[in-house]
Amino acid sequence: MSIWNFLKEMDQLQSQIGELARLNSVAGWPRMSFLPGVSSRHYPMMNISADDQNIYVEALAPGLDSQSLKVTAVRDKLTISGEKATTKVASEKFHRNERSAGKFTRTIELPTQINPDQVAAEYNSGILKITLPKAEEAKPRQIEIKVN
Amino acid sequence: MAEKTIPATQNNENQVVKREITRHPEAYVTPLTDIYEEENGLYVMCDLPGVNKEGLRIKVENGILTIEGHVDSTNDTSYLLREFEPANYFRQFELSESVDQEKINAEMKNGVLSIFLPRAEALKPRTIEVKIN
Repeated sequence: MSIWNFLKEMDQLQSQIGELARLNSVAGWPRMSFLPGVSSRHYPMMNISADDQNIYVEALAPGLDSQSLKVTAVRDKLTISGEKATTKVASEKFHRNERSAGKFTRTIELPTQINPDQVAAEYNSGILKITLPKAEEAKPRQIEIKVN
Repeated sequence: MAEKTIPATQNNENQVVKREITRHPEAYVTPLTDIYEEENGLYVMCDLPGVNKEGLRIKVENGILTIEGHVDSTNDTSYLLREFEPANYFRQFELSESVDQEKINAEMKNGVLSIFLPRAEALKPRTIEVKIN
């Protein structure tokens, strides 16, 4: 026979919350989670960096069918779309189902205009890396200083 | 109706050591995992983006399956937008005795690890013929 024990419940709740807080923080600062679960966040998550010549986009998207992956770039917009294949397994066979699957599309605005003809994309071990060369007019230009 | 006969030991998870608890200098996260059961055994699918073959370590010890993935932490470029950061993966599962530990095999493709845990021969379901006179 089990009796609902309020104190025990509260104790459990406290330890669960404590663990959650601990998992999500390093030295007190909230950490970005590396992979979101089945959620309404932007998918895929992206890191964008840039140098003088190129803009680099990394998208975190494991398990994609490379055939379905589509990258399109227009002036300063980049669209990534694709599909993560759903496993055709009846739901009652699952012990645990945490990974998400399905179609996605995401469009981002880039900080400068790009040259869409020379975009290179590479999909390797679940991370899509795209290199977008900046358009000529967006590249920084060295200005000579005349000294009299 | 499919009945889940290999227990997935969800409740015993607290007994399994999580890498985050140990005093390890590197950051670890728990990879998202699917586990489903077919007649011949269990299938484990694990999202490990950024892990290549060299960085992946899978072992079975004392009936505990350990999945560990190391990500090459890249340069320290300044990001215009940063939504994720590379972290290593660590997760353990307690295996049931009905898993044949000698015949486990694993495969890595596009950042997804799939492990097959075959059911021990003696425990496979057998069809028994019914004789009708």
